[in-house]
Amino acid sequence: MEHTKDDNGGFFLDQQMQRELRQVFKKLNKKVILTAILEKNSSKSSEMTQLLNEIAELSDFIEVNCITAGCSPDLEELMDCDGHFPALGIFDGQMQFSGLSYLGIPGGKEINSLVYGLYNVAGPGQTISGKNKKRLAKIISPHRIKVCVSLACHHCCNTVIASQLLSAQNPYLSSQMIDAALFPDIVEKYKLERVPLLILDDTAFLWGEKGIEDILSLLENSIS
Amino acid sequence: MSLINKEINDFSVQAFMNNSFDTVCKSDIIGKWSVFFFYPADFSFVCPTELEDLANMYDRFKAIGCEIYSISADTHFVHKAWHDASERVSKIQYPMLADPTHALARDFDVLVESRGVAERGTFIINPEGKIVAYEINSGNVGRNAEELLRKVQACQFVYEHGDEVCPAKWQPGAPTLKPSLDLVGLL
Repeated sequence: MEHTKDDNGGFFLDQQMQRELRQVFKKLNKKVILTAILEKNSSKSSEMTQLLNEIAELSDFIEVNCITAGCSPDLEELMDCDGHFPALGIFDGQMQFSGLSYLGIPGGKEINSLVYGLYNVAGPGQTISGKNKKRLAKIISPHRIKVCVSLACHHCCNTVIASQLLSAQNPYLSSQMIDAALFPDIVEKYKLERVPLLILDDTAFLWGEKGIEDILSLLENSIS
Repeated sequence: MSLINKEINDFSVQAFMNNSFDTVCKSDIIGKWSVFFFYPADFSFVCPTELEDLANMYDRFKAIGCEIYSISADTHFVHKAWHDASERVSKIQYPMLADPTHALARDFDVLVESRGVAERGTFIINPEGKIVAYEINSGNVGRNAEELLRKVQACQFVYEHGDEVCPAKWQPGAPTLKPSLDLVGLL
C-alpha cells in the first residue's frame, strides 16, 4: 500500500495535522536539529526523509540533518544504532545529543512521542513533580533505555513519552524508540510478541505501558 | 455464544494417570493453568498423533506451570487399555480424563449429541477456572502443540500484565503507518 499525497497536505501530515502541529510548535523557543542516519536506496529511509521534511516545514526552529549510514560511525554509536537504519536523533542547536532517538520512523502513534520529544528538548518541556524530580536527580550514572513498539500501539507511545521525558531532563539517560516491525533481529533477540517492552541497559525489562514512576523505580532498583 | 471468561462448572471425573486411576475435580485446576484437550475417541487414528505431539511437549507445558488434561467420552478403563496397547499413547504422562457421562463435553459445548463424542476442542483455563482461549476443529483437523504452548504463554502474559500491552504481528515490509496525532492537546 502506497501513501498518497493529501490534497494540499503532505504524504504523512494532512492539513488538519499540520494546523495542530503548527500550534504546538509555536511553543518551541530553541533550535532543534532532527538528525537522521539513512541508507541509500531504502524506501524506509526515503519515508523518514519525507516525514522529517514535512515536520520541519512547520517551524523555523526545526532543522533536518541527513547523514548516510556508515559515514559517521561516532554519531551512529552516540545514537546507539547498532546497524539499524533509518535512525533519528534529536539534537539541540549546537548539535549536542539530547539522548532521545528512534530506530525506525516515528509514524503512527509515535508521532506523538516525537512531538513531545521536540517540546521537551526545544520548548518549555513537560513538568515533573518535585518528588520525582528529586528521584531523577539521584540518577548519576549512564543508563540506556530502549522501548520496543508497534506504530499502531496506543500503549507504546505513552511509554516512549515517559522515558523520553526522563532522558530530556537527565543527561545520564538516553531513550530510544525501536519500531520492532522493521528489525526482525530485535524481535528475535527479545522474543517480542507484544509491545511495549522497555529495556534498561539490556538487563532489566518492563512489559506493558509504563509511566515515569515505573521507570524511575526500575532505574533505582538497577542501581541499588 | 462465546465461552471466553466462562467459569467452568464443578466436575469430578475419573482419570488415568501415572499408570493408576485417580479422581480429578474442579478444585484440582484452581490456582494453576490448565489445557483441556478434547478428542472424539480412544483407539482412533488422528487422535494418537495429536496426543503424542502433546506428550512430547509435556515437559515444556509443565515448565510454564500448565497442566494438560486430555478428555474423551471413553472410560478411564479404556484409557488404560489404549495406553497399554499403543506405543504412541504410552508416552502420555498427563492425566487422561474420562467423560462417559458427557458432563465435561456439555459444559465446554463440544458434545456431538448424535454420536456421543466430543469435537476436537482445546481450551486454555486460567487459575480462576475461567476459559481464556479456545479453538474447536471439526473432523480430522489436527492441532499443533507448539502453537498451543505459544497461546498458553500469551494468555499467561496477558493475565499478569492486564490490557496494557498490544499483541504484535510483525509484517516485514509493511508501509509505515500514517501519523495519528492524539496527544498534542495535552501540551
